[in-house]
Amino acid sequence: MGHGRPLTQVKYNVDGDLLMTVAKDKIVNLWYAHNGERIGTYDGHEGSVWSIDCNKTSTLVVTGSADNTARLWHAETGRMLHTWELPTAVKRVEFSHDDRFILMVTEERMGHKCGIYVFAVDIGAAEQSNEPVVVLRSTTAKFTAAAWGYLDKTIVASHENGALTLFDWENEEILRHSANAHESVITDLQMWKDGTYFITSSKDKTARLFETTTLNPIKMYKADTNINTAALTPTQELVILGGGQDSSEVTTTSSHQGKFESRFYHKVFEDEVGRVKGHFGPINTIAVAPDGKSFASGGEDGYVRVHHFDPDYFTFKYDY
Amino acid sequence: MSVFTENNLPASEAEIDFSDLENQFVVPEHEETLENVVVVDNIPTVDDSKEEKLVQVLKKIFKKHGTVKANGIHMPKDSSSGGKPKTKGYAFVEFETAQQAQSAIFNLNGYKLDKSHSLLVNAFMDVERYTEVNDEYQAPPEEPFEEREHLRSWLTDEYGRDQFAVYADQELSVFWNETAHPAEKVISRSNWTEAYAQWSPLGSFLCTVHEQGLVLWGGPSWKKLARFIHRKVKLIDFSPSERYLVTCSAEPISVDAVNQMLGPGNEHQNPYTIDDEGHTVCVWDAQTGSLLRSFPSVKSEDGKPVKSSWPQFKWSPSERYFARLNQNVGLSIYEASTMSLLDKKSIKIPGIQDFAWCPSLIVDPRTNVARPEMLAYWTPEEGNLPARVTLMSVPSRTLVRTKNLFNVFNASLHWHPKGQALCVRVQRYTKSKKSRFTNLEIFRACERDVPVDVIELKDCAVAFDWEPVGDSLRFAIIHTDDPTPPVTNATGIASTAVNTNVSFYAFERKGKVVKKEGFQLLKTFDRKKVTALKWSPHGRHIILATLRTISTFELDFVDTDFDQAAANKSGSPGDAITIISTGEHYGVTDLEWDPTGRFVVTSASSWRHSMEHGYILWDFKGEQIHKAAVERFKQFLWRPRPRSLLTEEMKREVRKDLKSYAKEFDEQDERRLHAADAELMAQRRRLISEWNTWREQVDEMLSHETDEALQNGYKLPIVADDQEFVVDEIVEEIIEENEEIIN
Repeated sequence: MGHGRPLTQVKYNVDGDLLMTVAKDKIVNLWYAHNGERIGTYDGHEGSVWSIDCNKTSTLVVTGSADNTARLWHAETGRMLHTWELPTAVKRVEFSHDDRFILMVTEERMGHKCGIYVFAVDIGAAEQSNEPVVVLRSTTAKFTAAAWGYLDKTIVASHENGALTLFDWENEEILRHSANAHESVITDLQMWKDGTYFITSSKDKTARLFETTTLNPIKMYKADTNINTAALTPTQELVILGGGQDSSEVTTTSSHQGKFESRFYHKVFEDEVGRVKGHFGPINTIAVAPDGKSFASGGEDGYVRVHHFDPDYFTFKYDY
Repeated sequence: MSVFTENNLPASEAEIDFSDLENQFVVPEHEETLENVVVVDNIPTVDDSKEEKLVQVLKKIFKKHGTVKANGIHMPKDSSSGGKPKTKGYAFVEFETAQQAQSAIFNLNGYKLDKSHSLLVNAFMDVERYTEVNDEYQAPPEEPFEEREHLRSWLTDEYGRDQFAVYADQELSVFWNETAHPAEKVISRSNWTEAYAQWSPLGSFLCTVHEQGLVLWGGPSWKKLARFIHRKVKLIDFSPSERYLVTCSAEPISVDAVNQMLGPGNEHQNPYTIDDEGHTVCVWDAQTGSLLRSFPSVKSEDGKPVKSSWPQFKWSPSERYFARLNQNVGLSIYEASTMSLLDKKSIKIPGIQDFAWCPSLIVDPRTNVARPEMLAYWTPEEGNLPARVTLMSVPSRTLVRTKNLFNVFNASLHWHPKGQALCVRVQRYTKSKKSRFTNLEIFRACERDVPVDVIELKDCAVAFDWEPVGDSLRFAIIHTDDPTPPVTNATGIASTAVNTNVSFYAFERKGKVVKKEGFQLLKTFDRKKVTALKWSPHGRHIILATLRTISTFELDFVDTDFDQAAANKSGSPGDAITIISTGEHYGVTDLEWDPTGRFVVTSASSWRHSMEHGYILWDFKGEQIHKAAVERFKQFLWRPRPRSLLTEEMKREVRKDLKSYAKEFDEQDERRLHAADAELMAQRRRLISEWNTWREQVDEMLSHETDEALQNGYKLPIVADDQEFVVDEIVEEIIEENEEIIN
């Protein structure tokens, strides 16, 4: 058993051989992606862990937690390298494309405004700076997620009211704001590998694709339930959506009713092409392996499910 | 008027001119209105000696409805005929208030003073107004003729498709049903209806329900065809051929309330008069939108309102008569042409529980003349009198057939849709009165002397449905031995899902195999949880469904003529009945066949539960064609088709040549499928090329900006690239091959 509480994020490293999972139970797990064997844990957090990321060379791991800290770990040994103290819970962490910075999205709570803190990391240095490079503030509802734009020039942030903001982070300037990107809470935001477009998921029962520079909507994927997470597949032209009825809305325990399936949509045609069942509760997070050969989903039921695609998945071609 | 300045103040009040203010605030003198005066006509003419007595009589009558002013009764006299002056036969009665006068007019107009004198009571103002009418006739301006749209235009669809309406969330939409691709939207309007929607029985009108009343829509442009003002209307019902419309509201009609709703200046649109005050049910002409008559709700003898079922008025198949039940009291049959009671009185039938019109006009085969219309009713046991089912002919009111029944707990009347037979499902007590069972008493109504066949079941039949076609008189029942059998609602759906069995019966004439003429059990399906039966409108196929439960959602598609070979072999027609397929629709609440019997829609409505709403389209074989999940879905309604104009013979001809017709339609389907596919492919190619162009642009921009950034010192981390293998390749080449034989 890896986690006893609902999963909050699953993530692959760049090479795709390692899978990192975090949950509301303070445990940070590292697994072999191909067989699900656990390598070890990163111990130290004293609250739910909300987010995890690792740098491109798979030497450093960063985690963000509800204990108001973000921690930097030595990936291989599990040694804690640094702890950043933040005013509130850290909901999302992400290394920049050049690995020199980490963004941290903090919760709005107890009089503290939410913010996106950007810290510099220096792999060579013994000590990391406790002073953020910049702090970006929301001009509307609180942030829910954020990601780095291409060449780390920008940061895209999603808001609880369905809005999106594009920051020129170095100059702390808002380049663009899209107030009605979604009709409800944006639950997840995942960048395409080159940072030029990204996918968002929302409780308005849709997932949408946006262009990074303009925040123009490109595609929309409609579902019949809350969508908690959406991921892009690197090889096939597909997107994977995960969600399901909130546990508070579930009237019976039938997994049929809850719509707890991973749903596959064609990225360009917006048609649903398939579903994968398995979870007993809503899916909170999905990540696709960088080689596109498998995907992992983490559910409210405390399970992480790793699916390897069948051979016919790769030969599957949409008629056109 | 002089203007005062500081130097020029008036010495006294008298010098000030108040005339302007006085004009402004003048109180108009009390105008003498005559609204409290009524004219009473048709009273006896009397001379002085009897005048006093007559005044006393009138006073006595009128004081019940208001205070007559002192000396308020005035009778003009005429002495021109010589002799003693006599009254002129009318009187003016002055009340305290106009309301009292209104009440007197409303209640006393037509009051019978004696045999030869009925009072005519009118408002004095009315008399005055009508005398002012111009004697010369003025023709009203001729309204230009406006051509109405073709109300049945949807039947001319080149593919012969059917339409259906879907009401979901706030939006009401009409679609063309498609099999190969998603339904094509015809029209969609949000907030088109406020409560629900309904088609008229032949499909000409779509009816929407609003706070102010209801509206009929139709024709190719879906414009408003007629409007019926009936505040807070709850229920609507059409006569069988759409000529009349009946509406019912929870709120009693109030002329003032309607006037208020229409706003000042629009009073002429108000269909109601003082006579309609307090009524709740209205009968309208559906074509013109005019009010024909309104009725009060049914009241019991002690004046308390009675809960009545809907439709409150049941129409005879010819639309010539409509009737309303007054439970335990009797039956009121009205003539549609005059909107008045048949023979001016209701029929007293003490204890009457329910009645039903024979739904079809039966043509006598010998004379080729339609027989008089017929209705059936039943009365329960009362003291020593047995329960009784009666068939009555209308308008003659002659009793065609009666049958006495015993130990009756309840009964329900099921007419065959073609009117050939009536099945009375009689729920009876066993002798010990501890348990119940069902008798089916089947009256063959179109045969001489109306023979009755009795089928005695061992358990309780909870639902009954005739196959809607054919001379074979087939029916299906749901029966159960559960000690508490569920009750069935008006649409034939049982309230709870207990373990039930489904049985099929058919009428068999005397023949080689059948020894005794009568109804034979064909087949029973055991241990089901069926709550509803739905025959296809063209017979043969039937669906056994578990609707409106929380645990079972099964659908069985049954073909009653499936295995003819087996039936012929064994000689029992029941062997042909087969469940050809089984389906499931999670949360299903309703089931409706399309009017052609080719498709079935099962739906899950948000009116009934909060689970997965939407509908599924099946074909008659039970293959799922299309599933639509619709948020806050409420209603699915197939547009009904008018009755076929083909005779039975012509239909047989068509059936005979079905193969040649089918070929044509198959080709058509094929063509459409190809066209649709080509369209979809073109659309996809367009999308993919748009995507690729965009990606190329972005890639170019990105590579350009990356170069720039790298020059400015941006560094991407070096990722160990395990793709770089050093591949040592050993190549062996055979240059020459020689074979030598070594000795």
